[in-house]
Amino acid sequence: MHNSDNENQTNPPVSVDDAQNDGLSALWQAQPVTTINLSEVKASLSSERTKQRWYMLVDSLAFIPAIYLLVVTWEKFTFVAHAMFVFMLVTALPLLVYQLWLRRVAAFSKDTQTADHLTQLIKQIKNNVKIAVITKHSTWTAVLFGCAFLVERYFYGELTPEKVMKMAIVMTSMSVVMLVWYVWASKRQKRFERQLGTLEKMAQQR
Amino acid sequence: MIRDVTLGQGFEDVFAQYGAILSRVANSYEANEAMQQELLQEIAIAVWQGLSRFKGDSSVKTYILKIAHNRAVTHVANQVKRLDTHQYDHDDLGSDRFVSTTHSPEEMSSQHQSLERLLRAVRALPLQSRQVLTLSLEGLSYDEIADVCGLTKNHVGVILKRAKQSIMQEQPHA
Repeated sequence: MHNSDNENQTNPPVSVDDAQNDGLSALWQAQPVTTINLSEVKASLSSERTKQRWYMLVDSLAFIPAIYLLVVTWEKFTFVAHAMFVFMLVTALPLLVYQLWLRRVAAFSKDTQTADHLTQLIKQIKNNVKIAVITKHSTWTAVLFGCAFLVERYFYGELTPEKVMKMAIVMTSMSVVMLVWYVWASKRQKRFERQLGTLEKMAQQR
Repeated sequence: MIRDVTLGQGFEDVFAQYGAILSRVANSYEANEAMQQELLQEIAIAVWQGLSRFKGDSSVKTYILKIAHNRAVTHVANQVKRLDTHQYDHDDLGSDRFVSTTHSPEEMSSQHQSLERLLRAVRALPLQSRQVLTLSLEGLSYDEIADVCGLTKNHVGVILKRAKQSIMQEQPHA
């Protein structure tokens, strides 16, 4: 025991050998320590803030090209195509808001008690697992949407061989990108599940 | 100092005064020297961010220890994606890192071994026991430990007793 705070303790619930405690404390405090590199801390702090802001910006801007294309080409498409686009946007927008909220939580953590912190961390990792699952399944949903759009064009659009070729290239490229994205999201999901397992084990050991 | 910290000044003073405590928190979670340094930097960043929100409801020491332990738990969770950190458990403290000018080489060697055993035993404790014990070893009162961990004073006493018993089995001569 080292500070005066301990003098205020009354009736500690356990009786222990003071000399032994002092020995343990002295030994603990004799361990070698590392000096904090303040300039590195300042640089990391600044880069972390910038990184989080960029992530939020990229998340927010990701929808702009899709909305722009929708507005510009609105007249060219049929009611079925419009319905499909609106459905995709309505489904994806809450997900974007949810992702931004999660980033905000990660970026601005509060000074909770250690027991609460572990509980909150477990919740956050569970959310991350959910996000990774949604991201993973959104990839094949997007490909399916692309196929449905092609079918819609086949029945309602004026397809020329050039247009068919163009759409086939777009669909193939999209499928490749989505496949890579699926694998990435799947890896993230597994990583978060492993993290969750570790944290839940830590919580159970209390 | 609190007013200075809330005004965005005095961080250097805080780190100068409590840097060693923060380093010992890192040591209680990570055995490998490189990982300890990495964790210490993470803790320092979290403390820096946290101090700007400090309202003076508790002592600076209690406040930064709470932040440090929380950051360390997050760090441990993030390490799952890396190599199993337990493989580093065989890393010893390194004789060049343990410097004492008041002991003979024999005493230093003995203390070095005792410290190594203590750190191994502390790292092997369940999370809550580890936090309660190390906070106690840093001189925090039962009330302060209860505040940091979100426990009652009695619960702190029970956990501390169990943790010390466990440590003493590994460290009979402390």
